[in-house]
Amino acid sequence: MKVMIVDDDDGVRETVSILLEDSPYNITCVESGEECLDLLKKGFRGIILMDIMMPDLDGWDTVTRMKQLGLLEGNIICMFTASMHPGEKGKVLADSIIEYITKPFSEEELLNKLKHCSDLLGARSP
Amino acid sequence: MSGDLNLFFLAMMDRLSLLSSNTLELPSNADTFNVIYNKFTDITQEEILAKLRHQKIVLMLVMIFYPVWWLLFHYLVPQAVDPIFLRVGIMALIFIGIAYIFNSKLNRQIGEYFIYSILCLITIHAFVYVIINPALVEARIQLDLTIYATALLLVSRWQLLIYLALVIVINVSALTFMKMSVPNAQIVIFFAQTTFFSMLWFARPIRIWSYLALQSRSQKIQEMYEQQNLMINKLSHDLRTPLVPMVALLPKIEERTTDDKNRYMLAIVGQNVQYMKNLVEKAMAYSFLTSGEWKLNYEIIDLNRLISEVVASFESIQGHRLRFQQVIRPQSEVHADRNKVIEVLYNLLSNAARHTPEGGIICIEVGPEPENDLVIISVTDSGKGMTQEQIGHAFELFYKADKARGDHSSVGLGLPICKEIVAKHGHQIWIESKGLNQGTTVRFALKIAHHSKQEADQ
Repeated sequence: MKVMIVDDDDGVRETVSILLEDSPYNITCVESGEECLDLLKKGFRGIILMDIMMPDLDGWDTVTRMKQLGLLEGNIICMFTASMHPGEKGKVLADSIIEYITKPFSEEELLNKLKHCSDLLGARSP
Repeated sequence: MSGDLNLFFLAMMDRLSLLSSNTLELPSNADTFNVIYNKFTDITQEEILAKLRHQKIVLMLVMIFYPVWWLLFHYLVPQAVDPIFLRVGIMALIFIGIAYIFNSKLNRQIGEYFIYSILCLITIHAFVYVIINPALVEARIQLDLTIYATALLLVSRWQLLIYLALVIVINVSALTFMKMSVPNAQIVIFFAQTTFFSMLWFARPIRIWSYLALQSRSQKIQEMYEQQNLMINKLSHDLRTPLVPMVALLPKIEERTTDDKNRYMLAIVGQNVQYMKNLVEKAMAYSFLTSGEWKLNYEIIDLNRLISEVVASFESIQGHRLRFQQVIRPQSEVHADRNKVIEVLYNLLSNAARHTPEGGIICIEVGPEPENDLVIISVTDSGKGMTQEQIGHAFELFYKADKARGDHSSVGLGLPICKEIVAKHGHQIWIESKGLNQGTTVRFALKIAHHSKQEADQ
């Protein structure tokens, strides 16, 4: 199962990579929404762990673009949120988001959420 | 009493009447009002009420004094009194009577506006009368009325004393001039009264001005408060990202460490990171709750079920270190925001668990409160209890009852968070403790849900 981490903070990217080192997940890290879209255009399909607060294209905007470009299919999006309350943008896109992980998180939380996402993805495309 | 204080006092009167009439729009935060109130005046609410009572006494004196004065006038200078006075005099008594009832029994504001509109009508009428009727008798009477009615608008003791002194001086001089048959005496008196009367009317613009000044001040304080809230929000938001590696990787490092000393040091760091995480989370939750940018999602909740669920999930996190006892009440369905009630229960259970020794009991009771359609939910621990002083401070930000422990298990925001949530529902939360080693009970109220479709839709 492929996992893409979209976060501008390298601390977060490294941490998630380390936590998932011994897991069956195949990890790719990108620093921005644009890079994420590029990878998706190249055919990436899997779980996307997306940060919300990013410069230029933020998490919500990236999801909106994915929707417009028809890249949502075959992917599951899990948002990294620092706030417990999704703003207006978040409410509009709530249908496209499967999971939320609140920063900071423990290893257990991350694995549980990923398990949930991969189960869903597995069920969708048998 | 200094003039400034007097102005603020007048403004305060406006504020208080607004508060009591429930039409208060700005500022929404009652604390802001208190801050300004304490900053600019040392007058207590009791004193303001005492001054309102002064007003009523003066009004009553005027009501007695007015007919007596005219009878005296009639007796001493019969040629100056027109029979018209009877008509106007009776009208005056009725009008002052209505104003008095409004002022004391109904709504101060309505009373005040009533007086102002009548005053305006009488004044205009009086001025027109002065122009067409050189005898001035009715105009005089009417101006008298406006002056006496103005007594209703006065508040401070000094204002009242000056007012009474001026009224006496004017009337005595009027009597004297007329007795002496001074030419044009009535015109002199008329102008004297008009001058005095317009002086009193100046009080209104000043009053409005000071009220507006106060309003802008409280608005500024409100803005400052919002800015501060924004900063807390931003700060806790930005602290979350650097916390990610610490929270997630520390346990990993601990796992890989075999050296006891290192493990011990890591445990200390871990505890502190956990504390920081709690602090950031609670500070953010609190600043969100006080931001006013949220609404309650009301629904009908089965309290017994909800509490069982919360206790079960809480127990699974805590381990079975403590015993939980649930006292239920049949049909305890309430009208409240589910997630927010869970937040309150979680906070109260965490507090109770922290203060209960191992093996102790935490009791959650849903108590009946037939009055006011309320249900009282109580969480009781078997800890060492709280003193009255500690209870008094318990809802303050960052207050920890057990300072000596310097513990990192609590950040001192749980109860303020609970208070905000319960207050948003329009109810109260309070603490009871019977004393040392008797445990502490925190109680809060929620509204019973009635099984009508209307309410469920709300």
